[in-house]
Amino acid sequence: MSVSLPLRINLISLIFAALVASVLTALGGFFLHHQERDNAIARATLAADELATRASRLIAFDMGFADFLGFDEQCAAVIRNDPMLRDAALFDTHGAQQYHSGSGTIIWPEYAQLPEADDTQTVTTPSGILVLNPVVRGKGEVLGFAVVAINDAVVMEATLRNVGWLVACAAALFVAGLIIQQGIFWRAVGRPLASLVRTADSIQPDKLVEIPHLPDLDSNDDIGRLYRAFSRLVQRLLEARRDLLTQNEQLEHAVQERTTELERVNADLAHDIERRKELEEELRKLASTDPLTGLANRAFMMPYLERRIEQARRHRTPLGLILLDFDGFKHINDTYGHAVGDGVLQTMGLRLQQICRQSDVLARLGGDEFLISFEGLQEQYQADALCRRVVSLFATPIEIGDLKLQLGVSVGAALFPNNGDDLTSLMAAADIAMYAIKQRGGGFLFATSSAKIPAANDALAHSLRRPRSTDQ
Amino acid sequence: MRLSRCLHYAIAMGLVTLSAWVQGEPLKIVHVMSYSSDWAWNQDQLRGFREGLGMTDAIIRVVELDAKHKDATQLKAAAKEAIDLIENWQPDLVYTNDDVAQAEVSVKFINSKIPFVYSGVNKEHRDYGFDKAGNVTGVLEREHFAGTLSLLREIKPVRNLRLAIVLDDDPTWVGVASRIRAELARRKDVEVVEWLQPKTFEEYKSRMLALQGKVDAVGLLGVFRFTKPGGGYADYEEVLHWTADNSGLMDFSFWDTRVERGTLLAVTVSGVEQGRLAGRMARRILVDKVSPASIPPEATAKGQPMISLARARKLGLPIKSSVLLNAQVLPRFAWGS
Repeated sequence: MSVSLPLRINLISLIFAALVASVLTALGGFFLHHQERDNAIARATLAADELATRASRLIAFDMGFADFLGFDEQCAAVIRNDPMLRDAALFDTHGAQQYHSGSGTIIWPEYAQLPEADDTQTVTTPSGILVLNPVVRGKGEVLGFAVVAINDAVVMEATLRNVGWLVACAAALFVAGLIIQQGIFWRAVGRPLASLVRTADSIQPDKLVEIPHLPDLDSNDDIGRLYRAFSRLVQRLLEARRDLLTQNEQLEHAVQERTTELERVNADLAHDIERRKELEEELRKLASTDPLTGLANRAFMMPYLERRIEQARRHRTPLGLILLDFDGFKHINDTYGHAVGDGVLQTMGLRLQQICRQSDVLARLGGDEFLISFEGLQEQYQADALCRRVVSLFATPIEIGDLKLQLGVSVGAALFPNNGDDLTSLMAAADIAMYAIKQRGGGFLFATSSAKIPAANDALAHSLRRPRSTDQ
Repeated sequence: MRLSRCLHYAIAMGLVTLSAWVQGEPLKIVHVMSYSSDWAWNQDQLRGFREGLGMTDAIIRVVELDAKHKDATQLKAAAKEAIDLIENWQPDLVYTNDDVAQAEVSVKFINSKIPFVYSGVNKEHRDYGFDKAGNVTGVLEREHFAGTLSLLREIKPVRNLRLAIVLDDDPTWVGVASRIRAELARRKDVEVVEWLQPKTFEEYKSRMLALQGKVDAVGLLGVFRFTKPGGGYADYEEVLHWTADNSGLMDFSFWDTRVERGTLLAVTVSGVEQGRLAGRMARRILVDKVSPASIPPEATAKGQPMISLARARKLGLPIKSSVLLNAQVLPRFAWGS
């Protein structure tokens, strides 16, 4: 916990004042004790004088010490109501105690110088301070001594009580002085500093615009100069802060513009990326799709079939190929032009798609040559039905505009692994079957066995691997 | 009626006093004392009166009635002498003391122009008709019976105190005796076994000797008028001396003169105090022009314990130091060396 400067100054001064007060109190206590002791001696002197007077009066009645009756009461009477006096007694000249009253004992001061007839003696003995007053008969005959002992404990108690009051008064003065001093220090130091602290604390990063104005301070002391210096600093800080704010505003504006620009460029870039993806997709499609019919092309189909054949081999599942080629397409192309020819290809592509199952894949290998790969047909008769449906598609004339065109088809089918255990042999078997049926005028034909392509037929094999653009 | 009388008296007094002061003449005062001027009791009262009056130039003429030593005829003659002096000299004030002077002189001047101030009177103010007089006031003597009994008990604690009281035929003791009886009526711890009023000194002796062992103490009030075989009264000093020598009983009285002459103790009525109070009353009348009727009679309240230590020793009574220190102690008899 931090302590304010005025309070700190106050506490320091209080400590020094307390040290001084302690020394003064100790000295005061010493003098007070002497004063109380002298006061007690004075009272004891009076009491001893009174006791001696009473004894002398009785002696004047021709009485001796032994004749005094109840003189203890007189001893008690002279110290009654005075707590500073402890004992009172009457001694004869031989030091024998005749009468006594009090809470303690009085030891006769053997070696003390005893007082004369009209004198009083104060002696210090082991039993305390004693005051001796002679009991006189006539004009000078000392018959004994009235002795009064001082109550040292009460003297000390009175001293401590006075010291206590002294300390209490001093403490009260200290407190009053502390409060007044605190008020003065607060006005001179604490309040200006508090104002500085409040102003400094109010300068927060989120409050850059408003800085409270420091009230004027007329003082020319250190605090006043510090206060004004801080005030000037605040003013300069305020001006610098305004400049900074202006620059920040400009910078923020520039950043905003730049951000907008970047956002626009980013949008363009994103658009370009999207466009590029679309183009890539389009190119990818173009690479695997026949642009005329939208069917898979040779580039797609060959790798696909190799993967399928590999899967079929691994899983021992049936796989078949149907290779078909239009009969009379060249004539249409030559007669009606390529546009009509393209229309025929598109129409037949659609018809072929309609008979294919979900798992079948239809591709245009090139020209009027198409390929259907099918799966799941274990037996040849099952593939026969598919081939017949393909052939039947060509029974219906093809309508292109006002034209009704009639085409034929040659279909060669081959099954894996019966007609070939790889793509090349399988394709060759289907091609051979197709070529054979074409020689017969069209229809469909299953390959009969594994295709044996003799070396002389390398040209044929080669032809199987390349697209053929016509139906010859 | 009384108010009118007082008014007339005040006017007359004022004129008389004024004329005296204008002429520069000293005040004239007649002092009528019931006893003789060589008796300390009278001397004390006159001394106190002078102190209270505070006028050193006042002329005081004294007439002694000496009632303790004169018979009735002689007393009447002395009273006539005093009356004549008053009437002829016309004093500004008359100061009387004790009861005899009131009975023989003061009563003759009730409601006269001359103011009267008395002291040492044992009877009541009204007993002399002074309650109807506008010119008489004074100091009543009231003995300290209760205080004296307390002092007696301090010396010798006795639970139930048996007393005998001795009187003579002086009418002074009528008032004293009645007040003692009134006090005794209120107390249960004191019993008066016998009231003695012997006629002769011999009778006194025999009665006193008979009392030994029967009572604890004897109150000696009237001891002035015990006749002797040869005629006359036995001197009270002789009576008291005999008592001190022959009585083993504690005795008490109310006057210092008795203790000085052997009576064991007394809480005394002070003659000086009574005279001083009477002097202050006279000064108010003469200087402040206050009517005597406006000054009510007073009784002195202050009593002084007094002990004859010589008598105590003779009786073998040890006395506590506190009692001795609080009393006036007489270590020797008056007849001692």
